[in-house]
Amino acid sequence: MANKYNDSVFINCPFDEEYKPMLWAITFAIFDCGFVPRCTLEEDDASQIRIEKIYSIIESCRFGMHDISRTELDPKHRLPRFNMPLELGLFLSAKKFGKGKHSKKSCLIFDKKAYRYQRFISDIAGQDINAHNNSPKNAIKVVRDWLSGKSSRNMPSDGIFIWNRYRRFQKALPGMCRTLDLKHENLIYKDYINLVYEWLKESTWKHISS
Amino acid sequence: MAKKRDTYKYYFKVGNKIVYGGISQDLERREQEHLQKWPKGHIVQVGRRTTEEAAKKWERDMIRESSVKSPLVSGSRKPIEYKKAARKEASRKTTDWKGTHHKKSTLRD
Repeated sequence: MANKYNDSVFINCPFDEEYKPMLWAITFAIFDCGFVPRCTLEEDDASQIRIEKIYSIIESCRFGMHDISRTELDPKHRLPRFNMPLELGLFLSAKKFGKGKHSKKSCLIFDKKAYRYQRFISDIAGQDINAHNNSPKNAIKVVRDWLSGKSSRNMPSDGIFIWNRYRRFQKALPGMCRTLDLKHENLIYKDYINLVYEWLKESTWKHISS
Repeated sequence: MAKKRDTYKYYFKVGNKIVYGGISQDLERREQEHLQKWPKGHIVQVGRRTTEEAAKKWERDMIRESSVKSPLVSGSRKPIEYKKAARKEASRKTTDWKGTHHKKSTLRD
């Protein structure tokens, strides 16, 4: 159980269509680095209150990746979305007030531009805050470097290696969806993570000395 | 001065199964060496020739043991179905460095 905690990365990010390429890329990178991504999309128990789901996932994750890039005004309602900063706050609180393993929690904060956070959430200064510039390639690199720095595990030597594998995975994905009779465009998160896992297992091999 | 791109990255496969991966400056010779152990195998070049340093880096990355952890939730299909779909995609046909058709590995650059 302790290992699962140390392997788990909570993904706190937008779940809209526009963000999907980022979420897909980050999820892939986390798997490829030997960790397990966790996010509220994996839970479909409608009887569980949403915030309870979030508590439960935060409790089971040592790592947290938080994207606050969408903290901006909604064009229709002229109000910002606060879900991501709220969940970031929950994660930081768990680290601050939690005992034992929770005090070792570690988080990465993403924004679309460097230092933009200072204009709306300056209290988080001092955390690991990185800009992804809305680029999946950048996001993969940052996630890899962060996980590499926070653990002593053997993982891909750089983000480019993971990015190249991710591009191969993207090419294989439509074919895998067809085989499973799933629509590539409407792929749900739970199917996606299972496909990433199986594809990575097929694509990683053990060295056999001759 | 630019370093020479004289090193191949390769897999040695028996059928569709990768039994070995490595780097070499002479694929022909390396294939003959591997054929002594796996007489029914063939060598597949991965990507283009590159510098020895870059090839060694690739080899280091690829030889790390699989550390992929399973997701904690199941999808809408049975686990075996995802496995089969991934395996099917990994066995599409392609052409190797000598122009011979073989089943393709998704590992190829």
